[in-house]
Amino acid sequence: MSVTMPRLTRREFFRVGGVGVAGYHLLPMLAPRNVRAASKVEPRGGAEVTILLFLSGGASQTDTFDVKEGSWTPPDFDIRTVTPGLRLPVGLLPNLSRQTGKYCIVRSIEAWEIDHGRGSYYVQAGRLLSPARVKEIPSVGAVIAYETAGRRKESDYLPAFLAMNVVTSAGMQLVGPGVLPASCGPMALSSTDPPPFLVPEQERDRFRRRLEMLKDLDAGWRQEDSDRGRLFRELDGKYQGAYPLLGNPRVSEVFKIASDEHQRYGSSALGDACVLARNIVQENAGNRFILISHGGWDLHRNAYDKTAKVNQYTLCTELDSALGSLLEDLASRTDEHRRPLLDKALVVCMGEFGRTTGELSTQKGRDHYRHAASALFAGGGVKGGKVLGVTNETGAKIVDPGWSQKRSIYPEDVLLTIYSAMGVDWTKKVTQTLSGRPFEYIENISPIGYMRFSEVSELFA
Amino acid sequence: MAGVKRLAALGCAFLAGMAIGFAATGKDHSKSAQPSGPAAASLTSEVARELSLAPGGKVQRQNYIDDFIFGKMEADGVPHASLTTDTEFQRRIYLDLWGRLPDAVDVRQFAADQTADKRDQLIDRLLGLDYPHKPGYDDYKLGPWMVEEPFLMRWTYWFGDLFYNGPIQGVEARNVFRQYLYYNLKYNIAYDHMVREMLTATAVTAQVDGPANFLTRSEVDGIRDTDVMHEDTCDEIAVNATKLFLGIDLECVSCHDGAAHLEGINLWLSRRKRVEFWRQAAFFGNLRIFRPTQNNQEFAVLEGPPLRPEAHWRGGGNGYRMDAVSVLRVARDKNAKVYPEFLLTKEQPAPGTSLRAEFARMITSDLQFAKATVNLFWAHFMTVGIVDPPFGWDLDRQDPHNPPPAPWTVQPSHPELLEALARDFQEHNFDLRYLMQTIVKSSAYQLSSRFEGPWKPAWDRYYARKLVRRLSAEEVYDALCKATNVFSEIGVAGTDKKVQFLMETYGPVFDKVDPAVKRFLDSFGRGNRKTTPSEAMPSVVQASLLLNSELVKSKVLASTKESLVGTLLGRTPALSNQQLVEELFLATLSRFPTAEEMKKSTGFLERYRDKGAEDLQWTLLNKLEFVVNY
Repeated sequence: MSVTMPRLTRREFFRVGGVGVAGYHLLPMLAPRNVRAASKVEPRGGAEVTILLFLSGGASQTDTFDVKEGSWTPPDFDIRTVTPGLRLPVGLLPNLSRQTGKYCIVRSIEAWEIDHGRGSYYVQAGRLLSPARVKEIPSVGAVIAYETAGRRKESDYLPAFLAMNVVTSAGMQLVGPGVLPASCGPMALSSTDPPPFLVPEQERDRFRRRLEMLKDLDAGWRQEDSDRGRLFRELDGKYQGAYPLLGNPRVSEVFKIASDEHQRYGSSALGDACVLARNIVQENAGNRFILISHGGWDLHRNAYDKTAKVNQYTLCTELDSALGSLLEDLASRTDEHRRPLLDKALVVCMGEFGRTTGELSTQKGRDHYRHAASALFAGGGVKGGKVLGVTNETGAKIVDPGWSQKRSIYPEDVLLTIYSAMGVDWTKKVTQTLSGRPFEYIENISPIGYMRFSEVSELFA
Repeated sequence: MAGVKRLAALGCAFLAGMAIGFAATGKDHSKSAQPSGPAAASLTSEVARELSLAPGGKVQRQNYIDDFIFGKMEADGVPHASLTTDTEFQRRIYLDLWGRLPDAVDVRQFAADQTADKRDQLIDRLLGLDYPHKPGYDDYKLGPWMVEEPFLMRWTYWFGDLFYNGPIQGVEARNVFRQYLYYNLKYNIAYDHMVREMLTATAVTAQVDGPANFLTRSEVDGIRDTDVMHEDTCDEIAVNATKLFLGIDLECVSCHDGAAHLEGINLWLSRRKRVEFWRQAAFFGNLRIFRPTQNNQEFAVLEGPPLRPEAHWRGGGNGYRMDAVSVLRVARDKNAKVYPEFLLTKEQPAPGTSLRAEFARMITSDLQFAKATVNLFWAHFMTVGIVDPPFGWDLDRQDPHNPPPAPWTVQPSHPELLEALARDFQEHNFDLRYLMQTIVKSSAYQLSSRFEGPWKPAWDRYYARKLVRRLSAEEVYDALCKATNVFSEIGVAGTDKKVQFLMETYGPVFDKVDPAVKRFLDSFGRGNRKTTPSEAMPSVVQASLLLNSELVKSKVLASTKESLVGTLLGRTPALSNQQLVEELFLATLSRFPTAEEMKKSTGFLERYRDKGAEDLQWTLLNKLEFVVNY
């Protein structure tokens, strides 16, 4: 196959102009010949949106969801059996300890990588970081945006894929649309700032006036066949994408964080992101995948030191208030069909790898560890109140994977499970890519050779 | 194919072309490429409108670059854009060489300047190469170091990006490496010298030694943050050095042979074996990069016997061991025959010589070093490399006389030009400023981005018009501040410097910018010189920020201290609406308004004078041309 092969054909953005019109510009169009399914599978379906809460840096499994006790354990972790078979550090995760019926903990996760950049890439892309392919491999969020494009309603105005608080300097890189249309890529926001598309009430008239002037003065450079080149059309396409958000009075509702909710969610950037995620799920306006990053879990030093700016306590408190409140609200709120939001929102909480176990290191911390890690799953059909997988007494070794495949659960299995829940056929592949190698949504190739990845169906049973 | 044959003929004329190239540095070359244009003394917008129409007619060839570029288009019957206007050229060259917009007063002056070679004069001034023409020139008092600071800021930042001068090694090391780059650029030190110095540096601590910081940027941590994986570090150095200095990306063959992997991607690499990669890494086997203390940002870069008895001072330095654990790559093959052997020539270091010095010599004396470097700069100025991407060279597809088997095609769009540029660069002692000057003085660089009539994508690679690029995040932000005259102070970490332009900072991450500015930059794709490369993909968030962020909105307010709008409105006697419009266009878009723009804008100001001036500058900041070098 020649590398001069053109990129995937895609239709140009529809030009919709005007303010408040449906987000057709977000609807990706690919020539169908480029995407093929390899075999017949029946995705489970049921979930309409996925929230991936990513514990960036790699959370210690033995200090959170797979807690282990030893001489190193501070008493105020308050480790207790909260339901039969489930021990949790109630001192660190009081809210989540009360809601065990809503989620399933998986203790048999294994990572392939022990480097932050490559590990967090793996979770988003479901494969090894290959420099030769990095530009063409899309994020799981982009695949979902692409696959669910047909479900967009006329009134949808939110982008399908949102990313919040991904701080690139921490080694985590936000994976983009790859070979898929650019409109499937993430819209990256920070929950600590007002979103850039909130136009204050008192400025709306003026904003409209300015827009009209802009339209008038810049029409020539923005025309369909700009005689200055394609870049101008692309830039204009992004303006077309911004207009429905900027002119929309709903946006200020959705992106509002009331001070009592800010507090209830833990008064943190993560908490705010979770408030927004809840609002976005409730709004049901075209969003399908939210990636929220929670940084700081790379506790090599002084992990239990409460005087350290970031430590096991501060991180767990943030996580517990944010995720705990999110689960509460998703469970208690309903959509227009009186269906609890938690039924249609799949929530996955995990990091890029686990951490070393037992006594703390000489630096009083825990280092990167790939052979055991934990994750939390809730909503989207997941049956709560369960634990899958058992590790040995230090938490360093998985002794019972706890699922049909009788091996560790890898990031590929997690992504496949998300695809299945979202009703996406994971055997599909994009045959035409820049490198000539097809992009398979899930590739049955692991870093150690052939491996057949599978849905963790035990989560739903 | 006809084109290729024709080009071969052009190759013969290459020496003649070079002669023109050399003349271009002198002052006396006679040419009148510039449109004489209508009398520009009293530049009304009406005149400006006419000026903005690109002049038609034949484009004058300025140096050998033009012989290749226009020769090929002529041979293949490809039409090209006209020469760009003076004002567009001025904005373009400021952005490319200085990374910022020209002052409004300079735009006015340049437009009115009647000198025939004013473009060349401007280029020489921005490059700091006008000193031989200055009165009282003698080579002790005046020299390339007389260059103005914006040039040095731009290129120091640019090399900082290129060499990953980011956050990993901390503020001190970053600053000392930054200063090293700054002074090499200031004194216009030969690039090959700089590269050899970086590849062979030693330092007890890289915190006080600039060039030693090139190698430490390839350092690979072990599981514990304090460990350094010696062989992995050698691997990373080999990958980075061949990528940055030869344009060849060995990343794939650093894990596996090219065969059965790269056939569809890179012909030359598909024939490379992993063992050849190891042989590059083996040149660094004697290197000891380690942390002398628990400070995980401080590194020693040494060679030879350990200077202290502690165990970690003995780390590395004992060759490139094939049984070492790798945290980044598939395990090495213990049976492979690994010794230092240069990838391109199979040359091995002479016995008793320093391996790194030998590698540095081999790499910089190879023509591929010159080719990769000129192509990198060409890509900066021309948006697309002759080989593109610039770090994706396929060495089996370079020679038009020996073309690769179908369906492969010759990789460079202009192989003979590439060779001519490379040899010219070599013969001029790897003088970076000479290289830049040669490229930007060509008419090829000075074509308009505007093409009347339907454009064919295939003409892009002919450089038949200026290929536009979105400004980098730093450039966009600096342009915003400059256009509105509203700056926010940035403290350079580890110094007591306060600067206004992003380009004056020492790099992303440490320097204290306002959080809103940081988010703005992140949204526009600023890299972190570590894991995230900078990129210029447009996005909805970017559009939203320009349309609606406080950052942008506050800069156009008349009430904001020292804002351009406030200053203009405060003038006595008051400016007419026409004058106001003109000033705003000059400061924001570096050009005069067209007659139609003037009419629309003044009409708007008549309705809402003060608020309208704010609205107008907001509008101009949101015109697409603002974020583009076109």
